[in-house]
Amino acid sequence: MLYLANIEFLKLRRDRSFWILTALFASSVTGANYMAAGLAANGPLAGVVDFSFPSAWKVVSFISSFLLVMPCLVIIMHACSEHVYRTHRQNVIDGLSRGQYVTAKLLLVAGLSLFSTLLVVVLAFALGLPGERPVSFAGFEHAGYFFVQATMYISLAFLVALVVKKSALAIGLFCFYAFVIENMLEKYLDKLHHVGQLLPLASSDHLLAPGRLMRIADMGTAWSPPALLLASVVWIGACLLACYYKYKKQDL
Amino acid sequence: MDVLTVERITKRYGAVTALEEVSLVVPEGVVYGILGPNGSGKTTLLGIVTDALKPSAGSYRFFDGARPGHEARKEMGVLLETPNFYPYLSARENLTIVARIKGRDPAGIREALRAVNLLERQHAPFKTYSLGMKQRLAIAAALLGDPRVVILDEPTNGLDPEGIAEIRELVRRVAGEGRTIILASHLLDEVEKVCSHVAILKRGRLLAAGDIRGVLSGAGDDGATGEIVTMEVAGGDPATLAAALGRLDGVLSTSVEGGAVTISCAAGRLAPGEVNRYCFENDIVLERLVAREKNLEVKFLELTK
Repeated sequence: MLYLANIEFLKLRRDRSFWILTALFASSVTGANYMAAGLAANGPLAGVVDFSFPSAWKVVSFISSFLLVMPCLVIIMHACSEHVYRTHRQNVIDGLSRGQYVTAKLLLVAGLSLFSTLLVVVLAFALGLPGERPVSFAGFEHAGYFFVQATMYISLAFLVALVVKKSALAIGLFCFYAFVIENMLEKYLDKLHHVGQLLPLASSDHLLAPGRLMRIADMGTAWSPPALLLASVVWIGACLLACYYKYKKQDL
Repeated sequence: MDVLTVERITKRYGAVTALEEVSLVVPEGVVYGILGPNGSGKTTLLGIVTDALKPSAGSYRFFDGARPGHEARKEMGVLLETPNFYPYLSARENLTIVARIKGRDPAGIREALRAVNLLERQHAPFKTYSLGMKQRLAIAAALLGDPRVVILDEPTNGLDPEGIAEIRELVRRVAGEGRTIILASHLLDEVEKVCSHVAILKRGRLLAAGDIRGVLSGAGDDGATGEIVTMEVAGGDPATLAAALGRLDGVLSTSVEGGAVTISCAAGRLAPGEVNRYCFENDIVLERLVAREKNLEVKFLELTK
């Protein structure tokens, strides 16, 4: 693992677009949360959103989840650039197994998810500490849900990049699925005992209810967190298996 | 020990068959040339044995199957088609990644860059390199850490005449160190000068394979066995000379090129002296008569026409 992580780091350390996009994501999440906190302190969100503990975990996770599409762009652009420069092929020719190549990228997926979650934890502390109530970890599971959600989104983005190979098309298709297709499917399938809420992105979204801002129809969450968590983990597993299967079978 | 064993490899792209049941064995310590016109399947074959492509059928193994594929590839240096590097990284940084993947000592990077004359530009980003420099960096990557096997696909692409000569010298030097080289090229002269073994491909089918002398002395089109030689003959009107030589017993073919006539005949069947006497008896005074052993180009054209 350390061997693969080291190789990924050597590739990324001078990849300017990777670091700029990641910094933009961090700035956007920070800015969005501080803006919401400002509006909650003495603006239209006063009394509606509470940034003090223990609700800080849930509120910061929820607000940050709107921007998860940004690390998805990061992974899509990075994975597709390996295809454009054909360096993924060279990595395999030089001695990485195909499985190792995918594992190295999944380490990056995990790294981005962890970084996003860490950012959420730090922001929750930063915004919650000045509040009236003392530090509490009562709602800390929401940071865990955010990690699951981030892993789901970024894994799916990586799978799309692996299949489509062209960054512009991959970004377009990912956004189309995330914001249109799955919303439509969810709405349609919700008539069947709310199974629509168990779809890949929806299951992790509903963990951080009340749902995404961009969701066309927010019908509330019908499933318990353990059920949604299980669905998310199964989808993440399926996504990772699909990544391995696809990369092991295709011509590079 | 055999370095590479390929068994009945087939590769199909839809209705197109790029390789059809190709089998060959590369012994250790040889320079093995893979020849074929453009589109004959050379790069596809090398792509399959380096795991860049998946075969539709058949199998291959390195070092008699002693190690898994990716572990075996770490002991090889490969340049397949175009040089593939991270454009925003320098030559040194790119080679550091290669060394890390292969588990080689990064200390060897300096020597690899020096061998291809890129030491002065080692810190410049790859995207600023010329085509020739990119090709040289790919060769440096292939030679990094003294690999047991070097696979080079059209290594002189993009190089100037001086660069081509340098690569030929490099191949000879590496071969002289006892390492195995697999060299794919459509440049027959290049292969003939450096290879001890050869495989000839045409439209995905293997036409001949083995020791280069054995391939050259294979059966000719007339069914006669034994080596075929060519002679370049000049004197008087080329058309008259060609017509006269065409009637000479033992001459298999004649062709006129420039002011000279090239004839081919079975080795030992016709001596240059006999040709000279025949021409003199037919009132043709020769100005030039050069006997040549059959070369790879003749054999290649014979097999692929």
